[in-house]
Amino acid sequence: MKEEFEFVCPECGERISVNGGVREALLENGCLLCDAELSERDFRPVSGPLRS
Amino acid sequence: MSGGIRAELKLEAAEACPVAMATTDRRTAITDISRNVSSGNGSVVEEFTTDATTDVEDDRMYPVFTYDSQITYRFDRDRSLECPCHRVEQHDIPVSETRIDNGSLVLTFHVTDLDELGTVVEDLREHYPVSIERLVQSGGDGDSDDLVFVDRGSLTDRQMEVLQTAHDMGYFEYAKRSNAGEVAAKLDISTSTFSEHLAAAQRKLFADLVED
Repeated sequence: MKEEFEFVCPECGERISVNGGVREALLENGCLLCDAELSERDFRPVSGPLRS
Repeated sequence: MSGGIRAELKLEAAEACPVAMATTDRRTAITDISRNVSSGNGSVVEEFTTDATTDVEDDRMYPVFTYDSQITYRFDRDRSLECPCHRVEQHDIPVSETRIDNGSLVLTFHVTDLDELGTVVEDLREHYPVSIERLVQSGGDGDSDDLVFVDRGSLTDRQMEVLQTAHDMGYFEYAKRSNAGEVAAKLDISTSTFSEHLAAAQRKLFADLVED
């Protein structure tokens, strides 16, 4: 099954639709634009509830 | 299988891309874009492919090749005219697709990793408002994509004809709609010749599909 997520950077606010592979890469390397450290809370499944 | 990342970027610079603006229906994706810098007058020769049903209204662009439902167009562009695609390609990254979406230019290209993409986006943002719409990494994340290139060009015309005929006659189906003798008869060759062509074609295709 292909998972899709909406990523929102907690530092720079960049908002991107990503798949599972990119999510893993971002969690490992940080935001591609501001290098902010990321956690799983920064990703929400596109079909899931909105993050507060 | 790990791989690179397909990036889809939206730029508020639609009018800056002559290729994306070429079609009357600008939502149509334009693919197979290539550029060649001319040594003569300093222009850039560009080619792109679009659906044959799409009208290209720019008089500078002329068709050079038609295949199936696709038409390839060519035109000369003045090098001094800035283009977002060209800026991406200055990073040695070919743009694979352009289209217009709600007045914005959407570019699709592939990068090896997120660092490379970050560099491209930073560069573009010095010139245009850019949003990163979608990033997809191939393989390695449990999704079902496991793409490989299969080089049909490695097949001879005869091997391709044998495969196509066998496929059309249901030779590969379960249960088979025709046997080797029937396909061979359709091709006007012996059953053993059919088997030899088929085996040769399979050897070439399977070499692309499975690991050594």
